[in-house]
Amino acid sequence: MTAMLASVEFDRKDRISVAALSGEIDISNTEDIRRQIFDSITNDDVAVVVDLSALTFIDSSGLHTLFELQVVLREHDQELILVVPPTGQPARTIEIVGMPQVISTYEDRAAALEAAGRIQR
Amino acid sequence: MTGNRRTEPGSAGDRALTPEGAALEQLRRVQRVTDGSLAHLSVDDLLNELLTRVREVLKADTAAVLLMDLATDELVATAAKGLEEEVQEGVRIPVGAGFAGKIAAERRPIVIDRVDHSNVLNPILRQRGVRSLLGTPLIVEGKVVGVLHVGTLHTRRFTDGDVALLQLVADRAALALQVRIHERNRLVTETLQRTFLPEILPSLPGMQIASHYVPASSSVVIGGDWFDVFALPSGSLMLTIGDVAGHGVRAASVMGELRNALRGVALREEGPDEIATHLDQFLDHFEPGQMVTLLVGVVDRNLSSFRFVSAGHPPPLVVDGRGASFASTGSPSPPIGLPRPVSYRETVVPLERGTSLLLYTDGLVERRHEPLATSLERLRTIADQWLRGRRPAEAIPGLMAELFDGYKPDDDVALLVLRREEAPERSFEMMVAARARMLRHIRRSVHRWLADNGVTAPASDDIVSAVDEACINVVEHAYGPSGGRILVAARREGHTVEVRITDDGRWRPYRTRNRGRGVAIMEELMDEVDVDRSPKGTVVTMRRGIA
Repeated sequence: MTAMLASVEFDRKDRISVAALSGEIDISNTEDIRRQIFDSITNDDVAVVVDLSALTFIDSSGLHTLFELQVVLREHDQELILVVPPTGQPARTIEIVGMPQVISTYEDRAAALEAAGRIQR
Repeated sequence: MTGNRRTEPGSAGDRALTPEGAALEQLRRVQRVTDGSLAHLSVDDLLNELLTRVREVLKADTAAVLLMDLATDELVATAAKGLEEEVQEGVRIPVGAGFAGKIAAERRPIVIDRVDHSNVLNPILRQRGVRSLLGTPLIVEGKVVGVLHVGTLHTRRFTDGDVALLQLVADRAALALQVRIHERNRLVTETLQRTFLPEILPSLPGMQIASHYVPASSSVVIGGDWFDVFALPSGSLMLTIGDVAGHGVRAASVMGELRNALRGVALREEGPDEIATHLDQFLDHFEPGQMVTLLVGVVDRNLSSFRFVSAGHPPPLVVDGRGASFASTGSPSPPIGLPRPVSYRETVVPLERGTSLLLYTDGLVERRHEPLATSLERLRTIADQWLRGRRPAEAIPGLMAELFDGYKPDDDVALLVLRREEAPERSFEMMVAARARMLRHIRRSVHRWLADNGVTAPASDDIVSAVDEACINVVEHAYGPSGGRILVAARREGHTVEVRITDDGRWRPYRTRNRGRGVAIMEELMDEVDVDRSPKGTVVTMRRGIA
């Protein structure tokens, strides 16, 4: 296994997809991460939880990917929910670009999964 | 084998002269073959010239030299006159087999009055119609290095005088050859070693590095020492030094393989103990029986410690404010390449500011007729004096001069000195290609420089984010597909950090959807953002106050 800049771990339960990101996302790998996430979502899912707890860095290109993800999911009547820990670099930049006002954001996975569970099926 | 006869002295060719006259004639003939004009010829030219003269003086039709290939215990046809096919077809004769092989095995001249398949292996000799042969071994320092033989197309009875003459020629020739063969081997080995030793050591903020390599002074003994220093994607720094057992071209080749294998494995970012295990397996599989001592270690990205594994290799010397001491590695692990797998233990050495680390191969310490403990203590004392408080590049010449005052080492000497800077560098500079993949290196380097200057999270994260965003702009807007460069510079003045990102491209307006956000991030995270665009390029200057 080579050391990649970022990696994604997928899980699915009860029509909720969870993508856990770890490492760093910048312009060199944001396209690749985007593709991986999109490829793992099925039409069955009502929500996708993207967990950034293990992410140490994200720049404007990665943030753009998240915004874009939400637009595409909305077109399919699916919801995007983010897990963003309160401290760390990702929290700062996510805050600056106003993402929490536009995408549902929680501080831990449990809260995010609970919110996803309440979505109308 | 037939034809193994002893000739009578004073037979056919010498009968016309008195004994003194015969000896003089003999001397003249030998000199004719091996005179001083041969001194400056290359190996190939020398052999050709020798064979031409030998053939003439002995009135033979063919003459050939086969040289020993020690790796395979075979004689290789290297030069021939009247028998050029032998060389062209790469004829190889195993020691002990056939005419030349028997000469080499028995280390004495042999005469064959009549050639046939029972006494000559080489088909070319028989095809050519050689009828009689005289051959003698080439011996230097007790070792057979080749065979010299002459032949005739008509039946000839070689005399004792002929045999003696050929032997004299062989003696002189062997010596001349050996010097040149060593020279050639040495050049090849040195080229291999120079190619594989890092030409330019990486420059890293917060660390000073210098190295030194001296090949062995004896032309015969060139070893397989190597060292390598490189940064890993995570920002940590890998150091390795090793010694391949054995000498010459072969050792240098194995050294090259190992160095490349190690670089490949290192990218996985596993620990030094795993790297040692991988290399152990590599050696065992690809070079069974080859042993190598190895020291491999990692300086973490905060420069605070050195974590290493020593596989049979001498311990690093640590020099700090308190003095010089060898890093203790507990019970040492054996060299890599042994048939049984071994688990390697790691040792961690803290690196305070101003601490120097000396890695070396045993050529630096080992001395003939001296217990190792004495040699190590000598190194420790001298290193304590020269490395303390000095930049590595300044310390090494003095260290080497004092260590080798009046003593010439037998073996290669390789050493690497690494020192953590005393004071943080007030300024930082880095120029890289304006490619997406370079951003992570920029972030790591800026992060390390900030940490070194006492700037911690969240301020350090903010500054790195802002630098990254400015660099994205350069990567995406400054240059066309042929690319260009980014210069990232940073400076600390009191309670302010200033960063400058410069490119020399022509700015293209935003084309992608991404934008606006990058600028918003820069402006939010930094206290001041200033963009200066001109036809010559763009400079983005940003400032941030720190506690």
